[in-house]
Order: sequence, then structure tokens, then C-alpha cells
Amino acid sequence: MSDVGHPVGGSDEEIRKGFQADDEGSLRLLYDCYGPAVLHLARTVVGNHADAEDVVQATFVAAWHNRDSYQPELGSLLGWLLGIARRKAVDLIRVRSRQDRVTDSLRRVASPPSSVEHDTETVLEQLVIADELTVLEPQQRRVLELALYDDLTHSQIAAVTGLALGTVKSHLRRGVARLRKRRELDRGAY
Amino acid sequence: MSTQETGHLEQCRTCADSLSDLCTVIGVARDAEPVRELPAMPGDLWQRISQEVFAQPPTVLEVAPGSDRPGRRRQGRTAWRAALLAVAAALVGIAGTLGVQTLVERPPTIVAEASLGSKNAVTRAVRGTVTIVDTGHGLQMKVDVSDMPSTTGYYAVWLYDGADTMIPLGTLGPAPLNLPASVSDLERFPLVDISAQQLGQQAHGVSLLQGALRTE
Repeated sequence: MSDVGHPVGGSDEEIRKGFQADDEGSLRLLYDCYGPAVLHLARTVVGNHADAEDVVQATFVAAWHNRDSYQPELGSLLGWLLGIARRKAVDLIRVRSRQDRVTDSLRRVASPPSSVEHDTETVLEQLVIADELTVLEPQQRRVLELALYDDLTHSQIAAVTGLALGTVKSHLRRGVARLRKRRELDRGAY
Repeated sequence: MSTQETGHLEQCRTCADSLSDLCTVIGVARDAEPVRELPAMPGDLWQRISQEVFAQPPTVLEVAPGSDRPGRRRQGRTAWRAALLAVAAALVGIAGTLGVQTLVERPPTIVAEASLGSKNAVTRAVRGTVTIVDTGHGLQMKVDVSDMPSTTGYYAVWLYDGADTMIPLGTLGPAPLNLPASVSDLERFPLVDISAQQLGQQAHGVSLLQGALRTE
């Protein structure tokens, strides 16, 4: 199992500099950081593992060739990458549908089921938020995790962590604000 | 939430939207728990990506029309020369097994060379040469590079068909590397690749240097 983001000490800044220097190692770093997230999204859209792997391959190849198009002010690296992955996944569905020449498939291409679109959007947001959680300061992340996933109250979190109640509230307020900001920023990227 | 706060939210659209937004974010964050730990990537997927991105197009060796492929031509010439020497030695009465072998032994001849160019920023200034010799008992490769950056892993030498097959030859160093007999046809494997490997990494790592073989 691997974290959604930054599992090997890489950072978006390192990858971005590598892109600018045409350093091929930066693609590997991108893959190590975000490959699992891209594969997860691809599976959500195309529905099977073999096609999802093809989508991952196409995504990272396109990411390398179009690395100049990444603009940090328009969204995170993961948001940009997931945007590419989504388009590649839709492309693959179109190709498969043409190959199948099945009326249902053609209808699906003309108008993808809203449930698939909805699922894709939901998964995109989850992946981005999960990534943002990994880059929070550890104490703030711990407080957020206790609130979000363990359903502890402010007082309970203060008791568990030994932090002052005011600090707990401050971490929660700022942490959620940061998740919100990241969500808004990346909506433009994908 | 106090009555006063509730009252404010009923009046203030901005704050109501903001609260709604925060609730949505919290909902997404809660639902994101399953994707915080995702399965590791399939082992061969990076290999597929790196080959598609970084592989050079296969280099076609310059072979005169109608001539044999280089590997076969070399084997044929060697065998023919050995046979001729054996016949000549027998005719002049000095042939014994040892004598014929001595006559057939010859200094290694260069059969292919390559200049290595950098494929990665970390080796931008590094250049190298590759020489493949026919020892009479098989092909050996010698790789000369200088100023390779230090690494916590190691550098590996590969023969590459430019498409989907890479043959590991060994660790980059001063010692010559033996080519398996099955890959002595250098037309099929026209590229030499030097990769950075992590300890324990079986698959091809990150390409640092690559060069196309020129057969002699």
C-alpha cells in the first residue's frame, strides 16, 4: 500500500524543476508519488484493471510530453495529472466503443452515464483532498484525522493529543480551510 | 450553533454559502478515507511507460544490400578461416590438435562500437564509449565512462532492441562483460543502455546513457 501523495520524499517543486531541466528522473518521481492515484481514477472511469493500466501509461507519457503545460498557479500537480488521466480514460472508452460497435456503447459515448461522470468527479475530489491531507503539518493532520475518521469531539481530541482546546479548534479551522482552498484550486485543473 | 448564528446565516448569503462549502469539504474528506492508502503499482507498468517515453527509435544498422547480417557473417568467416587453417596445418605435417588451436587463436577483434550520450540531467556532462570484441569464444563488451555521479545503488549495462526487450549484461565497471551467445546478433540489439538501479531492483531502472552500436 502506498500513500496517495509524496510517499518517497518527492515534492511537487522538485518534480517541477525536473520538468524544466528535462530531467527524466522527475517522471519517475511523479509516477512514484501519484501513480496509485492515477490508477485508482482510471479504474473508476474505465472499470477494469487492464484498460486502467493502459490509461496510466498514456497519462504519464502525455504528462512527460506536455510537461511545459503545467502551471502551478492553475492547480496542483496531482490535479493537472488527474485531468490528463480523465481525458485519456474517456478517449479509451471511445476507442473501445468504436471497436465493439455496440449500439449501447455508442450511446454511452454520445452521452456518458451521469453516474460515471458523478463517480469520476467524486473520486477526483477525494484523491485531491487525500493528497492535501498528506502535506499538512503532522500535528494538524492528526487533529483532523481524529475529527474526521474517529468522530472525536474537540474535548476528546484535546484529551487524546494533550493539546489545548484552543489549539485543537485552531488546527481544525485552519485545516479544513486549507482542504477547502485546495479543492477550489484544483477544480480548475481537472 | 446559537440562535444568533442561525439567524445570521438566514440573512447572510455569503456566510451561508461558506458554511455549505465547508460542510461539503468535510464530507469529501470523510469519504476520502479509503483512497488515503492505495495498492502499490503493478511491477511492469513503469517499465512500459519508461520504454515508451525514453526509448530511442530502433537504429537500423548499415548493412549492404544482399549481404549477410553482421553476426552471421562474422561467425561464417571465423569458421571458414578455422577450417582452412586446419587443412593447411595438416598438409604441412605440423597439425596436432594443440597446433591447430594455437593457429586459430587470435587477438580479440573489435566487432562493434558505440558512443554513449546522456539521457538524463544528472549525467548531462557524462560521455562514454562502448567496445564489443570477439574473443574467439564469444563477444565481450567494455564500457568506458568517466565522471558518473555517485549513487547509493549501482549502474547496470543493458543491450536493448529499441522496443520491448532489454538484456542485462552486468554492473558498470572496469571488467569486460560477457554477451550471452543468444544475443550475439547485434542487429537485433542495436542499443546499449546504462541505467541507474536501486539495490534489489530487478527491472530496468532509469536510463542515464544510451548509444547506438556501429558494427565494424
